[in-house]
Amino acid sequence: MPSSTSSSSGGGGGEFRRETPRGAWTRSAIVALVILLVAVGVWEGKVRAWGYAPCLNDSSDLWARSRSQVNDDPDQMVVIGSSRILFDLDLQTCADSLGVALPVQLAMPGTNPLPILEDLADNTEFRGILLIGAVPGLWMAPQGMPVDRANGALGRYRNWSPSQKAGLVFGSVLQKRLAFINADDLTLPTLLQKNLQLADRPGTADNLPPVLPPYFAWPDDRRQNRMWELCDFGTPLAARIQQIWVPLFTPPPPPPHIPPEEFGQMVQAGFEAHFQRIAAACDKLRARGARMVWVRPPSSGELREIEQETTPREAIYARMVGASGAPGIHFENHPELAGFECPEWSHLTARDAVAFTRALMPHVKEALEGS
Amino acid sequence: MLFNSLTFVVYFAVLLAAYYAMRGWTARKALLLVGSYAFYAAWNPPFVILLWISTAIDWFAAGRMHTEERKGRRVALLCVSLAANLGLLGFFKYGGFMLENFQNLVGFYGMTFEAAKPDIILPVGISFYTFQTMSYTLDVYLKRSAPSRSFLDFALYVTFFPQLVAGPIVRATDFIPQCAKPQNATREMFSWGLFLMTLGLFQKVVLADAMLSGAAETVFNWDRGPLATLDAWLGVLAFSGQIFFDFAGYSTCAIGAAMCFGFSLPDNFRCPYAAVGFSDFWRRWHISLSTWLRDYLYIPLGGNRKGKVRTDVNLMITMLLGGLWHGASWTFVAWGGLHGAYLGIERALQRRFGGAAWIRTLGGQIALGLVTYLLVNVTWVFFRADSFSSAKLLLLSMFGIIRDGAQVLPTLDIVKVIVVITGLVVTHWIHRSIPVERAAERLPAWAHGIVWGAMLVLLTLTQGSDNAFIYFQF
Repeated sequence: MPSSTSSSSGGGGGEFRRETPRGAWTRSAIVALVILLVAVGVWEGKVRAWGYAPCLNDSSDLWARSRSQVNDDPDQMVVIGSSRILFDLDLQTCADSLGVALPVQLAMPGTNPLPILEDLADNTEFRGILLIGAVPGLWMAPQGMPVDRANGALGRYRNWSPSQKAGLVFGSVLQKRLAFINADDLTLPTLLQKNLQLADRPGTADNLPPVLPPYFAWPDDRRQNRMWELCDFGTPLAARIQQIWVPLFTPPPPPPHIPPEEFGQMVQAGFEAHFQRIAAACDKLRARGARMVWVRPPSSGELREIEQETTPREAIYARMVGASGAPGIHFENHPELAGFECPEWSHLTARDAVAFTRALMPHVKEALEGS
Repeated sequence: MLFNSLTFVVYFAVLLAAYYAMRGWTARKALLLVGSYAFYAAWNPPFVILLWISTAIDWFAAGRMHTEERKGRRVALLCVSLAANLGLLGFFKYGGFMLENFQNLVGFYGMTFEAAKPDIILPVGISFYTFQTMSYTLDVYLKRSAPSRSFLDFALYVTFFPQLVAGPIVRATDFIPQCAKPQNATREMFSWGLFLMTLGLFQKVVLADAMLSGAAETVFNWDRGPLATLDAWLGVLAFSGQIFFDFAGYSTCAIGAAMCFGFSLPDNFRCPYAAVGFSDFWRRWHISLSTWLRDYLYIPLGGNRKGKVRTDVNLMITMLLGGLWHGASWTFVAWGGLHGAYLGIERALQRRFGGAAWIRTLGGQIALGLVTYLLVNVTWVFFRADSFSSAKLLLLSMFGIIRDGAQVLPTLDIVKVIVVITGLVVTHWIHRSIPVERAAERLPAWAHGIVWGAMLVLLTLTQGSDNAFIYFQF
């Protein structure tokens, strides 16, 4: 019985057959292929002229692969945190200085690393060295993008399918050869946004999601992120990103229906809950023999002032470190770490990351020996 | 494995090369079968076992049913098949939903029933392949067709990778006869198949994901009160386009991929947003499901043979269950119920005004078509909203009953929705009378190549993340 779902032939008991329309489709395919190759060639040349180069996308698959490497050797060194420790810690310099294998980099831009810390404590046998990057505002984020990103990456790792694993391998081959394959900055939606620059309706801005910084880092296979040269000191890109950090790091005002004092108490209660979760996870890790050390990387300019005001060191950083029972290295405490400046106020350049790591490692070594 | 992934590109190329390198037809079918299992296992390998269970039980039940003359035995065998397929579907898809409703029910009578929330992963495409295999045993039971004589052919029918996870839901009578003799795509058929795959991917990656999903997600995920009327409507229109391009894109890819191997799959969409009325809409939207429901539910219930009232009841039952097929939530049932109500009202209006001359004029058809599209959009609110309260708030915002709602869409999203949705509706009206195949035949090869090339360039530029097709979750 033909299903009568198609205009194709097949009624009357004959074999169901789709009709191929008449036309020189092979010739069309050749024309299409030529157009594609020419367009891709021209576009690749253009984006390289703009300063882009082939590099990996720091995708959730790349993170999932790093996370799976934790299971390979429970005694190795692992780094968690957000983008500052991702940029500012040079993995090779770190490995050379401490005499360990290249650390597994699990830090992720814009995330609250607490779910990752808890995952290491609850779902692994990890008992190596854990370097914890501290951006207090992100560690205290109760919900929204910072928490969603961390949970999303963990979800990807937990449900990482064979086809996604293969996709990472095939994708890497292309990403290492073609500059235009840049999922952060050169996709059609991003290009439309950058080129059309349409003004939004009055009254809309407050309801739109926060503007995130544009592409400014190159990750490699081990997720070592290095700042793009176009974001160096005094560049327009650095200046643009500076202004993006300001609203991102400024806490929203209390909702109108909650009195400010009550809201303040709610926020503090949230912080206390996070301190407890940090303590519980670190206790589990320590019981297995893991050694932990916190690192507060530098920030600069107006962003540092905002951080000092909204997440005072004693109220947040000191409490996090205290709750964990692990030593902490705050850049402000050490002149050789305090002298670094961030071109866009939040991250070090690639060359400064090496110098910073070299200056940081003696303190890490000392902290680990004492723990 | 997603069609819009690099893994699929490599998989497809390797499978095609191996298929055409082999000489024996049985070996080629075996290759397609193994390749299809690999395609499914690429998500979650253990779930291939479900395919094997479904295949084995339906093969056994239909084979025995065909040789069995005793009615009781035939019914028992049919029940085994239905219980197995519906049991799999019930456990994996509706287990949590049924438990939640049971808890609510006993709670209503003042009792408490606490049970651990089941942590069940939904196997991709389970609703599609269980319905497909059920149609096979039902056809054999109803003596509409004989069972397949080859287990390999039947297993390939259940598992054929292009349509396995999101349809079209293919009938055995359409597919299994194609397995009887070697299938080879001619050069032009192969190229046309590749074109259809490009078209499908373009619909999914560029139009659904890059152009429309942002506005739809912003509006449907908004949880801070009412929305401005414009934003509410644009979000719903965006979803109407997103779900069409997503699902029709998958079906188009599936048809194209099958063609490259020389197989034919039926159409699943025929310009649904140019439908005039709801019975017309259901002849154009997800055709393989609507015909399945018609043939195996609506007609066995009595169809339109038992009077007006009973016809309306049968329509409503069919649409409610069709809604539930889409997901374990009462909002999907409401979506189906609304379509059932539309169909009933349309039948009543047809009886009263069906003879009016203006209905057959172009203006009348366009006006009725636009009203149909508008009302279909109202149903999408229930389909996409995660709760009745958010659906209600969105509807109140759309119809201006709540004013001073929030403006949440950036201007770029507004422009994208207006341009793409206008293009979609106009294109559907054009292709209502001129199918894509006929339109393509009218274009010279170079012009067709330019259109094809432009789609490839935009696909490459969009790059696409690995967003799954919406219908995978059903």
